[in-house]
Order: sequence, then structure tokens, then C-alpha cells
Amino acid sequence: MKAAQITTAIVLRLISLVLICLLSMTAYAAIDVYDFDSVQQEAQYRGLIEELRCPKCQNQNLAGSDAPIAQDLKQKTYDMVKDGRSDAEIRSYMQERYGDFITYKPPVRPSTWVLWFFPPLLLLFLIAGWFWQSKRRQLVAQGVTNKIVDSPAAALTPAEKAELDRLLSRSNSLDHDVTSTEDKK
Amino acid sequence: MSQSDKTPNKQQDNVQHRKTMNKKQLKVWFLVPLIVFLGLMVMLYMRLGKPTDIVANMALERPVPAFELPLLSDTSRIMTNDNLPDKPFLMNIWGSWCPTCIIEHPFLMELEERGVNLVGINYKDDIGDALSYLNRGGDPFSMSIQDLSGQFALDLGLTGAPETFIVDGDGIIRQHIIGEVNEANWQERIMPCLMVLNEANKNGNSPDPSQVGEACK
Amino acid sequence: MLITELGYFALLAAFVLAILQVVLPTIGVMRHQVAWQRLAPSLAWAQFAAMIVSFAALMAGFYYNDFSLVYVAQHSNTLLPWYYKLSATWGGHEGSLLLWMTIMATWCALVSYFSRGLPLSMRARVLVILAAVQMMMLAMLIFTSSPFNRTLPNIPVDGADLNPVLQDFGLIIHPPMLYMGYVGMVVPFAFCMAALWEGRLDAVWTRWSRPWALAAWGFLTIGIALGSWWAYYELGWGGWWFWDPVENASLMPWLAGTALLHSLAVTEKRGVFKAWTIMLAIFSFALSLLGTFLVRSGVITSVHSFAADPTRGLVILVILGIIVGGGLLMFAVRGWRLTVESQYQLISRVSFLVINNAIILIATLVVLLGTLYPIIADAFNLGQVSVGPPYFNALFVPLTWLLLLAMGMGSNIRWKKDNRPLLGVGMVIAASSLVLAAIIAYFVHPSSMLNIGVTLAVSFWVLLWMIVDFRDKTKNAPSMVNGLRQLRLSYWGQQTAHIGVLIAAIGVAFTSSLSIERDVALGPNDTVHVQGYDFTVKDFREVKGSNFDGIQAEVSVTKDGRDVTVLYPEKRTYIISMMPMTEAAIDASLMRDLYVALGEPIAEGSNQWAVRIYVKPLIRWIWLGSIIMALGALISMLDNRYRIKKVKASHKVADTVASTAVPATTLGEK
Repeated sequence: MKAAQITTAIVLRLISLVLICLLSMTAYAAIDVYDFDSVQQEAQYRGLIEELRCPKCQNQNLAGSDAPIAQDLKQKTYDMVKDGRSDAEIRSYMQERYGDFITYKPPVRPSTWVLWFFPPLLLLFLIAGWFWQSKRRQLVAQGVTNKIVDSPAAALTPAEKAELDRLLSRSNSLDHDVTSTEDKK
Repeated sequence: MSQSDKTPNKQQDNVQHRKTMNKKQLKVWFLVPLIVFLGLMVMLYMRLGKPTDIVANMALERPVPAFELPLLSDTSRIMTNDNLPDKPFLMNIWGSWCPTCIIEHPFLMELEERGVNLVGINYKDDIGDALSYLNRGGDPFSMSIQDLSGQFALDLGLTGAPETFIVDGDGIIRQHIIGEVNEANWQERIMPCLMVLNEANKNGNSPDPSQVGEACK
Repeated sequence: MLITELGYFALLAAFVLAILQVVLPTIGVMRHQVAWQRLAPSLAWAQFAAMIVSFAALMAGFYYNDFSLVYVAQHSNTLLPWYYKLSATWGGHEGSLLLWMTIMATWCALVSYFSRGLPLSMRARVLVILAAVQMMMLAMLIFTSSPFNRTLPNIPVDGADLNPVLQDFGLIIHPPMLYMGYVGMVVPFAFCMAALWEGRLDAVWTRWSRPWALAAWGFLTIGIALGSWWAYYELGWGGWWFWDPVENASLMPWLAGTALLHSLAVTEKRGVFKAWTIMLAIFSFALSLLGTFLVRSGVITSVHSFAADPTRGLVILVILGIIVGGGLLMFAVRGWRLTVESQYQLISRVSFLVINNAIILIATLVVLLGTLYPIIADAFNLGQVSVGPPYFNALFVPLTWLLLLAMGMGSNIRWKKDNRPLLGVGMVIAASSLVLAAIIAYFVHPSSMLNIGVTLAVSFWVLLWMIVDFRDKTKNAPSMVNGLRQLRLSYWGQQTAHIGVLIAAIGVAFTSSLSIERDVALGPNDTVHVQGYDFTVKDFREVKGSNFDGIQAEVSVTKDGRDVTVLYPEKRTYIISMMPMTEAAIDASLMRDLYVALGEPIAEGSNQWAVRIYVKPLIRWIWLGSIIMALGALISMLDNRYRIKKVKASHKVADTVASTAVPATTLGEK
């Protein structure tokens, strides 16, 4: 019985290890101490390690990862930044070796046009469409008003017209943010 | 149901008339969200169960990156691409610190006995540890090159150890195995690929791209 | 343990009750049998009781170390502090699903209670739809992800311990708040579906569902803010939002919920856009379920995702398909009847809200597209790319600026036609905003003024419009006090929430542009100077917790010689899992955070450690702003026009065609 219990304990420990690897949250981001020649250089380095992705992790950038490969890539980035390379150079160096996924900024090319351009274009389309629709509606509304006047039925008596005017003016001034006497009923 | 439909009013009739004309259009527009949603469901369904790991395969169909690294057994000698074998071979990245490499090692010994040419890249390892590792388990490699800094591995797009590359007779990388080499992926992936490459090398030709595409997946 | 077995039976009972709650009132509705319809509320309460018992039983299992439960064995340990034992209940997939369902049962009970003033047939329908969702999800819980599975016959001696990252205060509050929001989105959905089912063409149900939407949205706001705050101090690299798929999964229903709230306002006041409101209600809940799917099915890569299981993913996908597909089908079949030729002026609150909704929807689309892109790229063979913060920030931030621009004028002009001299006022406000913003931005960050400058400019724009509108509303009152009292709670709620948005936006802009990070090697008595502050490591000492060992550093912080604070960052190793963890020490204040985290010793045996130091200006504004937003929602909810009193049938008016001159408020609804 005891042996079985111990075995189960060991099995559970292994399961937990597997689970931990699957859950794979950073326990901590390893802190590397680097020297920089200037503030701009440091900013460039920090920007790059936040943009570049760790190839072995579950969706983490280099800054937030403690995987060995992330350490190596950070070191390489540091070397290149110290060397005076530009962002674009460093990015293409990484992309040549690891592919497009190494950077979190998707490249702008025909296959990613839908990603970059569809939302802004759709917004323009929606707003333009709505604008055009409201203009059209205003024209139609003027047309409908004419029809109502010409209709033989539903001509208002003066009393009814006065009542309509009273209701309309009250609604126009009714501001829903201010409590009115009606609301207090 | 609501009573509003039944009001017999001319004005309402006009409005109804306008609405009826667009009813068909309206109904179509209202179906759009459902259709988009069904499309999304199909896409998500097809994605279920597929591995989401990113695979770095930039090294494929390219020559082995240029290197100038010392030989592990004699670090005074510097090896370059010219020292690589002329026939198809397996390039295995290993380190004595890597637990999966230890598991993989006996199978590599077996492969050497089967006549497969293995070149080892010792990745970010202490030379003493590396040499004792080979002494203990045996040396399956025709030669081992020391990549202390890891720069060569970086040029290969390595993400960890062990990884194995299959290189053809012209020095072009044709296949990339991430993780250990074992009987299973030897039979499924590596052997078919090697056969095609060996065939081509024997005839003195470059391997046929379609054949490579078939065999070296 | 017997209690946990009781929990399992309670869960089964809840499932049966859910089925009954779907079937019986439906028959009652279809056959117009009042007695059967009346069963719905009682069944909802019974289900609530069953779920509470079930959840309490699981918690008891954790508290009493019942390792015969697989779930407890996987996520707990005898050495775990009791408060983490209890919160470990939702630390894994099965338990968090149980939390989901318990919260859902709570919402249903609350709906049941607060809807007593509703007509019975409507009330019954709402509860039926809620029960239908519950039924499907309980089925999934019981048959594929039960937390009550046993490890018998072998009971482990001890458990595998909770993941150390989760052993934190954040775990105690973040999931419950978040789930209250996620799950709460089902209530507006249920109201809309019930209205479609009943065939209502009026907009009264929007007033009924609005407080529920506000409540769900408020909880979701707090849940997301808590998550961001937790990640900030826990993960150690100073980030507070990573656009990770799981984070996006919570942001999308929030965005859709924001659009829903605004659309509900329009439909309630003007009777138009009913179809849009229903669409948004479906959309919000759909995104909520989609989020659940993404997180638990393994189709996307994320640090936060639960252990991936495609079978579970399939089940959730099927449920998602049925619920949302059913909703959209109903919408397609009956929704078109609700459309009405709406007329509104170009310069009116209605049209600004249209723009608002358009912008928010596009923002939701951006997040959705970016999150799903790996799946889309896979389906259409577009190659592997990573979509991360650079993409999201590039598109989302300008959209936020546009939104604030619309919000300034839009939330402060008349509903119908505004006859005030807006153009003149607008230009003055615009000019003042630009000047103020430019001055501040120049002083604060001359090298890169764009982010801070634009955010400040739009914020001032909104603020100044608010002031103009406030003065306008109170100018006719006999006194200031009287003027203030006249303003409705919903107005205060609205302005509060909008101010919350401004505060959060300014916090985001300042902290993104002005944060400073330093990684240095420090030994005892070493000092480093960062942004005006001096950080001195005084000492290293050992610490011991109930389930961890570690090293603690004492770091004293001074500014110009005066003491500011002493910080105690720790580096821990958890005994059971052998996982190293860094516990950052933070000195938080409204204007800036000082953040110190310990790394590793520089070399083997050295007394110098790698230390990370951050100075982050205005970062607390982000979460403060979020809390204020949620507060705004709460204030709005308390507005008494949402209180439903039982009214006679004759008083109910169905407003059919638009251009109803008299708003519903005055016609007997109260």
C-alpha cells in the first residue's frame, strides 16, 4: 500500500512538472546587466527585446522570457546594438535565421494586407456609408412630409394641432439627463 | 405577436410599402452575421488538435552557414565548411548539459554502426564536460566541432538542443529535426530523405526538388 | 470525503434542474399556462442553491486536503497557506469552470429576483434562455471536465502544489471578478432573445436589460484591471498589458459591451437601432464564449492558457455554435422586423453614438483579427507571422484618440437637434486643448511629444466639453445645489465613467512614454541613481515561508538625501515544485511607481546581484481610471428609472414607427 502511495506521489509530481511546462508562465524574467554607451542605445535595446519574440516560449517576448535561447538572442541583440546597427538591420538579421514570426510586428506584405488595412478601411467605409445614408434619409424625410400633407385622411383639427405642437415642443426641450416632473411620477 | 402591423393608416401604408420593397434586402443583410459566424466556426474546428508550436525552418534549402570553428578533439585545428563531408550526412547539435541529448545518444551510436555519417556540433559546452561525455557514452561523430559562443547555432536558427540537420552532398540543408532522433522519426522522416540524397549523390547530380519535397518532410 | 461526494450530487441536481427550467416554462409559454411559467423563478433559485452547495463542497475538498480528488491533488498541497488552498479551487480548468457555472447560477437568481415587475411571459422566457445556456455548460462540466473525479483506489500522500505564480493575492480576486463580467454578458443576451422570441417590436426591454449590461460591464472592467495590475507586479518585466490572446479574450467582450451600453442608451431614448442593440448583445456574449473557447482549447499559443485539450475544445466549440448560432438565426428570422426608418439630425447625440459604435466595433475587429490571425493564416496558408503589441498598439491607440474626440462632443450635445452655437464653442475648446496639451507635453517629454501631446489634447477636449455642458444644464436652476440635485444619476454615472476613461488614457500615455528601466549589478552598500532617486542595497538576508525559501534584499530609496521608502524584494524557491520566483517590491503612489526586482547573483558565490529598477510615472492612473469607470457604471445602475414596478397591462405602450414625439418615460412606465 505504501509503495503504491509513493508511486502515485511520484507520478503526480511528474504530472505537475508536465503541467508546469504546459502552463509555462514566467517564474521570473532573467535580469541581464548590460553597459550602454548612451541613453538612446539603451532605449534601442529595450525596444528591440520587447519587439522580438522568444522562439521557444508560449507567446513571450525576449524581455519577459528566461529561456536559454532568449538569453542568447538578447546577448546577440546587445552585441549588435553596441555595434551600432540599426533596428531594421537587427530585425532582418533575426528574420533571416528564424523567420517572420521572430518579430511581433507582422511585416506589411500582400499576405498581411488584410491584417493591416482591413480595419481602417472598413472604418472609413462605415463612416462614409453612414454619412451618405443620413443625407439620403434627410432627402427622403422631406419627401415623406409632403406625402402626409397631401393625404386626404388624417387632417388635424386646430385643437389636435395645438395638442401636437405642445407635445412636440415639450419633447424637444426634454433633456433626459435632467429630471422632469413627469419622471417623478 | 404585436398589434402594430394591423393599423390601417395611409401613412403607415407608405412606410410599409417602402419597407416591403427592401424586405428582401433587409433579410439578406440580417443573415450576414450568421454566415460570418459559421465561417469562423469552420475555421476554428479545423484548427483544433493541430500543434501550435512555432517551427523555425529558415535553414532549409540553404547551404550550411559559413563557420570557422575549432575541432573538439583538437582545438588548435580550425574547421570550415570545406571540412564537411562530400556525401550526405547528419549534423547533430548536442551538449553534455542537455538531458534529451543523453537519451538520444545510444541511438546515435546505433546509427553510426549502421553506417550513417554523423557530424556533431558541441553547443555552448565546457570542453572538459564534452570530452568526458563522449568518453563515457562513445563518440558516434566522424568529427565534432565546438560552437562555444552559440553563433553558428544562431545562424542555423536553433532554438534548443538536441536538433539535427540533414545535409546533402552539395552542402545544402534538406531537413531539420527538432528534438531527439529516435527509431520512430528515423524510419518515418530521416531514412527516406537520406536515401533520396544518397541516390542523387551517387549519380553525381543535385537532388531532384520534387523528390526531396516528397521524402524530406 | 463525503462532502465532496455531496458536491458532485449537487452538481448533477443542478443539471437536472436546468433541464426542467428549460422545458417546463417553455411548455407554459407555448400553452399559455401561467402556473408552468411561474415555475421558472423557483427552479432558478433551486439551481442557485445546488451550485452553491457544489462549489462549497469543492472548496471544502481543498481546505481539508482531500487528495482523493484528482483536481485537488493536482493543484494543492498540505503546505499551501489556507487562503491559497481556497482560491486554488479556481486555479485550474475544471474548478474555474465550476466557478463559471456558480456565478452563472448567481446571475440567474438575481435576474429572477429583480425581474418580478416584468410581465410573466417575458420573465419566463428570459429564465428559459438562461437555463438553456446553463444546461449545455453543465453538461460539458459534468461529462468532460468534472472537478469531482477521484484518484481511487490510490490516494496520493500529498498534492502537486499550486503553481507558484498563482500563489498570490491576485488569484483570490481576479478570476471571480472577471467571471462575474464574462458570465454577466449572458443576461442582456437572454433579454434580447426573449424579446425576439416573444415577438416584441417595442424597445421597453432595453430599459429592463440596461442595468444588467451595466453591472456585467462594470465587473468586467474591474476584472480586466485586476488582471493587468497582477501581471504588472507578478511577472517582473514591468509590463501591464501584453495583447496576449487570453488578455484579448477578456478585452473583446468588454469592447463589445461598451458598444452595447451606448446602443442601449440610444434605443431606450429614441426607440431606434433596436436591431443593432440585439446584434451587439449577441456579439458581447458570443465574444465571451469565444474567449472561453480560445483559452481552453489549445488553438492559440499563450502563457495564460489552461492545459490544452482538443476534446474539451470541441465541446466548447459545439456549445458556442449552438448558442450563438441559435441567437444569430433568431436574429436573422425575426430581427429584420425591428428595423425602422430612423431619422435623426446630423449634429445630435444619436449620430455621435453611431460613430462611437462604429469606432468601437472596428477596435473590437482589430483585437479579434490580431488574435485569430495565426488561425486565419493557417487556414489560408498565409505563412507564419506573430501578431503582438506593435500591431495592436499601432491600430488601437489612434482609434482610442478618435473615440475620445467623438466622446467629447457626442456625450454633451442634445439627443435630437442641438441649436446651441456649437461651432464657435467647439473651436475655442479645440484651440485651448491643443495649447494646454502642447505646453504640458513639452515640459514633460520634449523629445517625443506625440503620444502624450495627443492624448492630453483629446482629454482636455472632452473635459472642457463636459464643463460647458454642465454649466449649460445647471444655469437655469435657482441655485448650484438645486442644479446639481436636478441632474439624474445616469448623467453622473456617464460623466464619471467618461472621466475614468480619460484618467486611464493619460496614465497609459505617460507610462508608455516616460517609464525608465535599469538593470544593474548591486552588492551591499552599492547605490544607483535613477530618475532623481537613489537606490541603495543595504543588506541581503534569508527568508523562509511555509512552502518556500529565499533571499531578501533591503533596498533603501532616497531622493535628494531625504528618505523615500525601504523596499524588500525577494528571490524565492518554492519547495515542492522547485520553481524559482521573484517577488518584486513596489513603492506605489499616484504620481509614480518605484519597482525593484531581484535577479540572480552576478557570478557563482558573488555577493553582487542583478537588480532591476523601474520608475514608472502615472501607472496607477490606469487602474484608478478603470475603477472610476466601474464606479460610473454602478452610479448609472442606481438611477431609479430602471426600477421596474408592476404595471397594469393597459399602461404599456409599444412604440412602433420612429419619430415618436413623446418619449416612453412619460407614458406610464413608472
